[in-house]
Amino acid sequence: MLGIISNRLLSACLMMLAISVVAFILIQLPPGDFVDSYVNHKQQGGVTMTQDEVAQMRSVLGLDRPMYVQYFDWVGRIVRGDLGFSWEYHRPVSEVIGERLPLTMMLAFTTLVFTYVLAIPIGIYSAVRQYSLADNTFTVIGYIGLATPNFMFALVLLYLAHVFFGTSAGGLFSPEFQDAAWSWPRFVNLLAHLWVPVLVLGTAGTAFQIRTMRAMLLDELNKLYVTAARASGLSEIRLLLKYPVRVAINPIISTIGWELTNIISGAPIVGIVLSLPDTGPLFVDSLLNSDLYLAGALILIYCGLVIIGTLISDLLLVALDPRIRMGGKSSWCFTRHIILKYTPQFLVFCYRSSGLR
Amino acid sequence: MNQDILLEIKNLYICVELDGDSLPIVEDVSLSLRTGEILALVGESGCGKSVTAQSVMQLLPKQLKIESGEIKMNSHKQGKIIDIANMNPRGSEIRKIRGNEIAMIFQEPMNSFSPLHTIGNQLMEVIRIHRKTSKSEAKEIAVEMLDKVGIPGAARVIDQYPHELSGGMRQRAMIAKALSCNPTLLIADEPTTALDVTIQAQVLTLMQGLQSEFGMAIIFITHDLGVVAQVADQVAIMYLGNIIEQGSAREILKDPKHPYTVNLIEAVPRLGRLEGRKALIPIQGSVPSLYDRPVGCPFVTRCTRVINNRCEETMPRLISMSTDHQVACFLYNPSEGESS
Ligand SMILES: Nc1ncnc2c1ncn2[C@@H]1O[C@H](COP(=O)(O)OP(=O)(O)OP(=O)(O)O)[C@@H](O)[C@H]1O
Ligand SMILES: [Mg+2]
Repeated sequence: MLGIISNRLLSACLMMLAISVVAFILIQLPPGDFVDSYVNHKQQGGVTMTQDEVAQMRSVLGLDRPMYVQYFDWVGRIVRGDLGFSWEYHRPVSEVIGERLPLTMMLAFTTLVFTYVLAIPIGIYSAVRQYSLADNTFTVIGYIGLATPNFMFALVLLYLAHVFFGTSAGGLFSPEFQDAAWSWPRFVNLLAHLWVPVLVLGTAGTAFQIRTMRAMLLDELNKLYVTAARASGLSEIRLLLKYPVRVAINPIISTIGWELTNIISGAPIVGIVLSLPDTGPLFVDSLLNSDLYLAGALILIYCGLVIIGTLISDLLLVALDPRIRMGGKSSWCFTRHIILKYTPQFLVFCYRSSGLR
Repeated sequence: MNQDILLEIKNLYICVELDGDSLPIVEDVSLSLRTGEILALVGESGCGKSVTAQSVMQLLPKQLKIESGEIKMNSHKQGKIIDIANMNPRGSEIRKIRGNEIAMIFQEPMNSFSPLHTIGNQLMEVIRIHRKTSKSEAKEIAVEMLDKVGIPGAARVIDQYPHELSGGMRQRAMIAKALSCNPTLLIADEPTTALDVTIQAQVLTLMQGLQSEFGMAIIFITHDLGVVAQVADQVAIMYLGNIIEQGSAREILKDPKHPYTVNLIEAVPRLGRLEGRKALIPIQGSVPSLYDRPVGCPFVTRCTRVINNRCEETMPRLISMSTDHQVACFLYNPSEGESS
């Protein structure tokens, strides 16, 4: 057990390292750096910068150094706890992110809980009452949920809120709490606003998890051990919850990491449409402006969240399934497993974020 | 119902619902089983043995229904005769019977335990449902039962998971689970088919030993006539959902009447009598599917002794050959007219 945990922690660290390389390259891949976009801005304002000024600015920011030097400089500082400086905001990255990150985490976490708390019971019900009216209804709603792009859903909600309640469903706080210090009423106000982005971000995932739970459970319900347990006189509900649901839920738990990836990579667009004061809009801006350290830090944090999510789901799975617990796989096995598991997720993530530009 | 009869099935019909049609799977089956007796239910794959057995515990899959007929049991624990066929499969009445008065063991020991719960957990569960015991008492009983079925290190095995046990050990654990509430009837659905031969023999001997110790009646489902000869008092031969011959195992094995039974016995390889080695005679043809079940005798498509104009047209009824031997074949009741 301890071996497995340390294995997975080690793999997670290796993964973070790999991600930092890829992230650094990806951020700089599109043509133009921060200085170019700065020069552009100035030009639009009617100010032209000389060749010398531009070169001097590059050397001040350290952008004239070879890429690998910049990378090691960056990583070295991160290891020491320094996330760097945001050129766009003229403040340390940690400060810029600091106020907004808790909101992002809260949004992601709430969405995750929302997804599973809703999907698991509905999935169970749909499987047990296969092809009933309720099951069919959930199926239809589910397909609509899966097929609707998040930004569209967000726009529709904004529109509906405006038409029916005359209020804006955007943001996370009412105006009077916007810049207030944290307090109980402010928190309640947050909760009252949070459901909109949670709904937008969580619907597709919930629909997907309902399908998964339903399919898994249908598979289990026909297994011999269920009949065998029934033959010992268990009541149907106890039987259902103790055996097939318990077995069917394991694959669901293993999707937590994946689900978190979806939520986090979907969040920036929703954040912009709903003008949320979280890190989403920040992230998009930083990519647009090539604000290197801010974008890099955010990617690392997002990936870190995803890895932690996956780690948690892996550990839960280990705790829940004796077959895995006692399997005692080799560490290479796990490393490979983790790499295979994260790489597609990461590519999806990068693809989605770069699509924003 | 006679006092020493434990279970009586009368004119049982079980049907499957297919797109609104209902197709009979088990037709007009009547069986009776005395307390402490071993009845073997024999027949080719798909003839309805398992379905018949499941109906006795109301464990039929969703698509199957008891269409008509009686399943009565003399409940020793409740001291009265109970009517199983009319019980709600999800109700509490039948739950009091399952695992308590009637227990079942299955063909595949690999899958008959939940992979995520310990053997002990699954054994203690049955015990605690039907016997009023504390957790620790239930655990004691479970260990004792595992011991009885010959599992070495029972106290340790109780905390193990099914995947840690071999198939033979798992089947033993299943038997322990089935017997832990002292059932009066044990249904064993091909309990040894999935095991290899030496283990098969051990499990069979174990079951015989436990039968004489616990005194429960057994319905033993099998393809294997060797097993029948070894354990059974009574035997019922099924073909396509019908019982075509039944009675004392000794008599039927020695003097089979129905052409199908005769074929079955000829198809059994025999060791030890090599000098008079006869070629095995496989039964020609194969079982027709449910959808084109012959109108008359179900065996008519493969029978070598068909009586023209009778076998194809009417289903022969069971007639007595002796006090404890009945057969459904026109060869033995030339006088019977159109069956009603
Ligand atoms: N859930 C089900 N839905 C539809 N048909 C079924 C179902 N279960 C069983 N049957 C049908 O009932 C018939 C009898 O099946 P049963 O399992 O009783 O056979 P069996 O005699 O036990 O065979 P085996 O020796 O292979 O176990 C088969 O033709 C099978 O196709
Ligand atoms: Mg069967």
